Amino acid sequence: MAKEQLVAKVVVSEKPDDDILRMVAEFVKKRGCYKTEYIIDPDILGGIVIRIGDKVYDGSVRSRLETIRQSI
Amino acid sequence: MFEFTSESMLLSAFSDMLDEMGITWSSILLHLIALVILTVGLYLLLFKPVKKMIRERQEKVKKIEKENAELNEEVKALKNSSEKVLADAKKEAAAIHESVVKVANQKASDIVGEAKAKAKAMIDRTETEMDEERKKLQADVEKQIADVSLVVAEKVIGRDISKADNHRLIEESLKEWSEKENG
Amino acid sequence: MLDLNDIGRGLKEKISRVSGDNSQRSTGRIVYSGDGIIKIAGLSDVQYNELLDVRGGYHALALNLEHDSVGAVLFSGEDRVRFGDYVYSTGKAVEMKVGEEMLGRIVDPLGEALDGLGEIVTGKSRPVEFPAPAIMDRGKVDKPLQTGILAIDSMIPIGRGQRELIIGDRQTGKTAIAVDTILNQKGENVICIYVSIGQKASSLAKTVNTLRSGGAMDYTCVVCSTADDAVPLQYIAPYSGCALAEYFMYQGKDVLIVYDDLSKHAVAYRAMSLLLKRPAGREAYPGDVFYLHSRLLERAAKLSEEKGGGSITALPIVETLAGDISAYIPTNVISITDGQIYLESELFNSGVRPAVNVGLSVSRVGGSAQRKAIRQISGQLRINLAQYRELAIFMQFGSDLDSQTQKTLSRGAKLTDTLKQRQYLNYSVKEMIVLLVVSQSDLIDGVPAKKVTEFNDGLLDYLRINRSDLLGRIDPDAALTDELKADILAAAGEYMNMTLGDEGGSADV
Repeated sequence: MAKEQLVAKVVVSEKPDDDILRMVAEFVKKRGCYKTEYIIDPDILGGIVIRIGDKVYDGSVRSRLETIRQSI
Repeated sequence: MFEFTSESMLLSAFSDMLDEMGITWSSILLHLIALVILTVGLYLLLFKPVKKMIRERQEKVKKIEKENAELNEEVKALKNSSEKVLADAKKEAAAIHESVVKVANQKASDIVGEAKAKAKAMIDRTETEMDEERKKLQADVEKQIADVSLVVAEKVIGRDISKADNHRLIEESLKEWSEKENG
Repeated sequence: MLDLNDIGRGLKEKISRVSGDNSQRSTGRIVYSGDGIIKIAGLSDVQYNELLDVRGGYHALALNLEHDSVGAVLFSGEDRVRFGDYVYSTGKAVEMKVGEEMLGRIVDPLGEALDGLGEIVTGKSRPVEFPAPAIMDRGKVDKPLQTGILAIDSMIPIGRGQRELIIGDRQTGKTAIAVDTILNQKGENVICIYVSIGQKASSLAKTVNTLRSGGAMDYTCVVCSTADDAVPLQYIAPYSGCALAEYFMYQGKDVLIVYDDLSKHAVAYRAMSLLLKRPAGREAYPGDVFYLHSRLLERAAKLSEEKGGGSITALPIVETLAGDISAYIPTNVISITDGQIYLESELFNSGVRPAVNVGLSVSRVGGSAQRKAIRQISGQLRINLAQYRELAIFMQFGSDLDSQTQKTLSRGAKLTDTLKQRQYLNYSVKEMIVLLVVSQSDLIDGVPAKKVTEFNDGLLDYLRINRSDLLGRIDPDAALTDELKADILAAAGEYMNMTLGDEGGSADV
C-alpha cells in the first residue's frame, strides 16, 4: 500500500472539538497520512484510538480497564 | 655210712619189688627207650605242628588286637574331628545367622525409613495442596471483586466522563505517543 | 480463614502495578481461522517466531511470514477467536519462565504451573529458541553420567554433555530407562528436566508419581504437553525444556534433559506444517524436520571451563514401528545424536530387561568419560557377550558340544542374567564393579544358572552390610588392583559358601 492511500481511522467516544481535530490531523500527518476518518463509538468510554495502517494507538478508557482486568 | 646203707637197702628193696612184679631192669630200660622214642616221635610229628599252629593263632589274635586298637584310635580321632566340625559349623551358623539378621534388620529399617519418608511426603503434599486451595479461593474472591468493580467503573465512567476530561485524556495520549516515537 | 484485608491489599497493589504502556502497537486482523491456524492481514513488522496477542487474552506464534499476511498457530482459544479479531504483535519471542523455583514442579511449555501448587514466580525468563553454544565455548565430555543401569554404564557409557538416543518399539521400556536415570541422579548434583511431548496424561501421571515417590522431584522439573494439548504447545515443549536446561547450564551446573518422545514431536510439527500449507516431503514431514531436531539437540553441550563448565545431557526418545530404525525420523535423530541405546521387543518379551540390544547400541563419546575401574573390567564384556550370542544361535542346531563350548555358553547366559535389572533398582558404581568382577571370574561357574539374579542381589546386600570396608576400598576412578580383585572374589566366595552350600559344588557346567 502506498503511503498516500493510507487512511487514518480515529475512534472517539463523542464528537471531537476543533482543538482535538487539529491535534489529530497534525499527529497523523507526521506519520505520513493525509486522510482521516472519524468514527464515533461510545463503547470505548473515553479517550481516543487511532489506527494508521498496521499501527494502532489505543488510548481509550475501555482498553485501560481491559488491561487492568487482564493483569488482575 | 648208715645213710648209704639205707639207701642201698632202699634200692635193693625196690629191685626186689620189681623182681616180684616180673619187671626187669632191662625191660624198664627198653620201656624207657621206647618212651624216649615215642616222645621224640610225638614231639616231631605232633607237637611241633600244633605249636606252630598255636603260634600262628597267637599272631593272628595279636594282629586283630592291633587292628582293633588302630580302629579305636581312628574312631577316637574321627569323633574328635567331628566334634570340631560340629563346633565350626555351629560357629559358622551363628555367623551366618548374625549376618542374615543384620541384613534383615538393615532392610527392615530401610523399609520403615522409606515408609516414613513416604508418609511425610504425603502429609507435606496434602498440606501444600490445602494451602493452595486456600490461595485459589482467595484468588477467586479477588477476581470477583475486581470484575464487579470494573463493571461499576465502566458504568460510572461511561456516564460521568466530562468533555474536558475526555479532551485532556486525548491530548495526553497524543503527546505521549509523539514523545515515545521521537525519543 | 480467608483474609479479606489481604485480598483488598493485593488488588490495590496489582492495580497500582498496571502500566498503560502497551497503548501503541502493531496490529492486524484475522482473515482465516481453522484447525488452530490463523491467517492475519496486516501486522507488517512482525518477526519470525514472535509471540502474538490475540484479542481476548489468547496467544499465537507467528510462523509463516508472507507477502500480505502472516500465518500463525494458536496456543489457546482455538474455538474462541473469530474472523476480524485484532491481533497485536508483542515484539517478544516465546519465553519460558526459568529459575530454581521450577524444580519440583510440573509446568506447561510456557512455564505455567499444572500441578495445582500455585503460581510460580521466578521473575526470570529465557527465549524458547536460543542458538546452541559455539564451537569454542564447548569443552570435552569427560565426566560420566551414571544411569545406574549395569548394561548401559558398562557397555554404552554416557558422559555429561552427551546426546544419547533411546530408541525402540512401543512397550520396550524406553521411558523406564530415562526415569531410572533420573532417579539415579539423587545426590549426584545433576538437575533433571523431563519433557513430555504429546503423551497420554495417564502415563505421564504414572511417571510423575514414580519420580515423586522416588524422591526425584526435588531436583526435577517436568515440562509437559499431553496429547490433548494444542499442537503448537507440543511443538515448543522440548525447546522450552531446553531453555530451562540452558539457564542452569550457563550457571555451571550439570543438567539432564529427557525428551519423551521426539517422534510425537515430529508428528506435531508435521500436523502444524501441513495445516500451514508448507510443502510435504518424505513421509509427509516438511523439509526442515531434520533441522527441527538438530537445532534442539545441538543445544545440549558441555561448556568449556571458561564458560563455567556446565553441561546439558540430552536423552531423546524415539519410538520405532516394528523395529524399523531406518524410517525417516529415527535415521535423522540417530545421525544427530552421539549414540543410541537400541531396545528390542523380542529381548523384552524374553525377559531381558532392560531390553538393550548390545550389538546395535553404541556410545560415540561416552567412552572417555567412563570411570577408570569400570572401563578396565568391562573391556571384554562386549566381546564375551557377542561370542555367547553367536554360540547360542549355533547351539539351536542341537549339535553335541564340548566342555569348553558349554562353559562359554553357561558363562554367557549368566552374564546376560547379571545384566538383567529390575526397574527402579539402580546399582552404584561400586556395586557395578563387584558384579562385573564376579560375573567374569571362575566363581560364577559355581552358581546355578537359575539363581544368578538371586545370588547377585544377596551378594550385594551381604557386602553392603557385612563388608562395607571392602566396598569402601574400591575407588572407581583408579585402576582395580589384583589384590582388591582377589579380595572381592574372596568375599564373594565367602557369601557363596554361606548361601549355596553343597548346591554350589554340583553346579551345572
